[in-house]
Amino acid sequence: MKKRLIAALVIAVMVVSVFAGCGAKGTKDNGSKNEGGKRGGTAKDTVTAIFGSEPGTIDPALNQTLDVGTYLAHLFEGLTDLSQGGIKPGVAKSWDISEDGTKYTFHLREDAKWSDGKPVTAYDFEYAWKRVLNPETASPYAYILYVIKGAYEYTEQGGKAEDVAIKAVDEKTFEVELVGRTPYFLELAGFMVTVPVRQDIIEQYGESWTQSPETYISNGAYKLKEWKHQDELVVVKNENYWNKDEIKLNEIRFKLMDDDDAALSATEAGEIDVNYAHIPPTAIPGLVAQGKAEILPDLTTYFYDFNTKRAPFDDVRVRKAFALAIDRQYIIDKVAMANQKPAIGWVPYGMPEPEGDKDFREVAEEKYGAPYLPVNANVEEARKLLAEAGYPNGEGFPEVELIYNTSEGHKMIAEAVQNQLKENLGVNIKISNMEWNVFVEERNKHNFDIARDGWGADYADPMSFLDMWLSTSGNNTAAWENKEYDELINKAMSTGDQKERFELMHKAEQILMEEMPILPVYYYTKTVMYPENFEGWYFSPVGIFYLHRAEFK
Amino acid sequence: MFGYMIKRFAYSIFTLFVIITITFFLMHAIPGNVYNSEKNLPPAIVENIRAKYGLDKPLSEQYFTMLKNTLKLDFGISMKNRGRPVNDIITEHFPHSARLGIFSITLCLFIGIPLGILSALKKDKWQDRLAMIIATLGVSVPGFVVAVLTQYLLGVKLKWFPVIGDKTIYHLILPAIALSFLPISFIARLVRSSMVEVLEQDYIRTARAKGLSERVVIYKHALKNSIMPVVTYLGPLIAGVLTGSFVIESIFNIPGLGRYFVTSISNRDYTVTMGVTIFYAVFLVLMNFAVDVLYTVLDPRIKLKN
Repeated sequence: MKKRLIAALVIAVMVVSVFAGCGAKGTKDNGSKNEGGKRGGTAKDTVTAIFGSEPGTIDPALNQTLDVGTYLAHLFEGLTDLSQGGIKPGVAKSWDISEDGTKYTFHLREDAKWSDGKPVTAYDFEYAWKRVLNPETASPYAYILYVIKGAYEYTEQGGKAEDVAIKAVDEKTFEVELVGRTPYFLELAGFMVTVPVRQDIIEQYGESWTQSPETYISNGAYKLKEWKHQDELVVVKNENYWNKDEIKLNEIRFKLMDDDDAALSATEAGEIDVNYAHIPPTAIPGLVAQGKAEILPDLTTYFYDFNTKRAPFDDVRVRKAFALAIDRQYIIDKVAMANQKPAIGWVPYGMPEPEGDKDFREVAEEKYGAPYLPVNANVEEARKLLAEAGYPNGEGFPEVELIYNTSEGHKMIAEAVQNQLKENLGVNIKISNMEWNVFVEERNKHNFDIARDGWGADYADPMSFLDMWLSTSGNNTAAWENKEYDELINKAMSTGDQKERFELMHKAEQILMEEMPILPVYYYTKTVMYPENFEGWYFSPVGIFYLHRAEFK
Repeated sequence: MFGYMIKRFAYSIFTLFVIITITFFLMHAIPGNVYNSEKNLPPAIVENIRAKYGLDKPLSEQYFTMLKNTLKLDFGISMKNRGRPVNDIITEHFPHSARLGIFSITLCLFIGIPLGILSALKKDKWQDRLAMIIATLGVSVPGFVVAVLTQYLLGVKLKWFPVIGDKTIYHLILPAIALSFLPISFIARLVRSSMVEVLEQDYIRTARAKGLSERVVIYKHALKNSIMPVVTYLGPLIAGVLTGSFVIESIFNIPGLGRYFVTSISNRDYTVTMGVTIFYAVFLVLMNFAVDVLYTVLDPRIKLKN
């Protein structure tokens, strides 16, 4: 009997400890039972939106995702403000640009304040920008500041921080010197990476400064209220923001979810107001037809890399034959199904030209002989090229493999490509999936024949798409080298004349499409769902959703 | 009993050590890195990241550092969730998984056992057939299908339940159903088959011959013995359900530990993978021990000896 008593006691203790362990935090986290009723109905000045899943970081220097970029756009403000389209004064009320376009002097507004009430100074910017470049920070976006004198040397060549031409002249004057004229620099000054951060906070709390609202001091329209991991990131209006009168919504709840089906269900049930691109592809045509979802353009290209260092893709004729044999419209209509546009070149639609209201693609067609690729397959030409390369009707073609990262969508597109190559060229390719992390590693090491890829613009300029194919670029996944291309791009980077710059970029794209180290498939779109009476938001060309002036009417 | 417990404790420590070692080396054997991303980082920066997390040191050195820190119950800082200590992740997210888990286990026991008893008592009658059809469905339909179906029908269409989150008990009903459908079916079948067997035993006949009421015969004498297989099943079930299911947590957007466990592996977030694995292992070892102890309570013939 005694033994049984002890046994019972042991169990009782274990069970109680388990329950106790749960209760303590459980009640705290879940105590807010009546908030907004059980259906989570949304008040007029609060919006619930989904842009992504639990982020790895919300540190502006470390982030590289668009969803966190969206949160940062609401939490911080850079020198310029991109939240309403065009480039408006942000923390800088004005700026001077030198004759040759390489020296920028920003004049900061007096009333710009941090969420804790302290003034935003030029020193904050100097610290933040140098922090991005500091090799110790290991910022994935450091390269975007290499347009600044001394930046590349500091980050990658062991140069000194003092030699980087970023300088706070006084509290309210900020000076930057560039390597060459950079027409998109003002846009860069409003980018998610170039916002100011607080030196005192980061030096005191280290990497964990992003973890609590008390230490996550920001200077934008909103400030962090709560970060419930894997659940939601809640931001509220920043009363210290200089332009707070223009901000309509009091609170934004950014839901953090990783299941698109669930995100769609929650949107349909009214628990989420704004759903940005978290909709399963198969549901999109139906939702669009019912008027529940809208398709927005996106500066992103879906493509495949050829390994140009490995046979048979070291032969340009084989690469071109493959690129011509793909029926892009078919893939969009039957597989991708979200009104994407066929990628008939490399740079996507919507990149503005310096003159007129035409975009880069339209000018390429008018003056440079685009479209470089057919909307449907050009089977005849493709077969001819393949025969010239020594594989008539696909005979004797070596076994090649196409790799993609595991995902139902990528699989279906890969299968369509496999099928079309077989039908149109008589070539059999193998397709195989890999887990994301392994896939990235293999692709970066150029250990593949054909690999899936995608690229989105950081800023609305064709250069954001073209500089990655420089032979020195770390993102040149196709391992492609072309001297002429390098020369054109380098020239475009240093020229002061916008017209000449665009001519050079068009010529560079021509070469890229003659050499075809890649197989562009389509230009992405983003699907968004929002309530009918939700107005005033702005969707930027690079895919940031600004809710600053949005409201329920 | 105490001798047994000490020996058992020693075995558990050894088991944990083996689990930790195997996990550590397997985890490092998978290709890939925590800093892999679409943007290819310059080599100089990669070197800095590796140095920061101690990944530049030989694997054996990393292993011993990890062991030493584990003894201090310090699992380090997540490599992917920058600035978050692994201990915080566990203490913050385990309660969410556990709360849902306890709710599901309660459902399992309070539905599964009566369903099994009913089947056994009405053996080969329509009640039995119906219960077993339900149980077969439960075993064969995967949990995520139940989750998505109930979420859509009862949540989106009929609006009886909220769709995502775990703020209230109300939120927990759909995920708990999805999580417990299979165990309920399994328990029902276990109880049924052992009950059918027990009911034919001599001591049941004796009990009936003594003139005991049917209720006493079933619930006092028969049930106690037919529940033994359920107890065996309960150990791993509790450990499994309480520690959280990645799929169910994702579908209902519950901030549980199960999601961290799976995503940490695909992120190569070594510290989180290691910390959560150790936590799970300890939990499982404890649950199995609890089950063994529970046996002695239920069946005096079983003695916990060396």
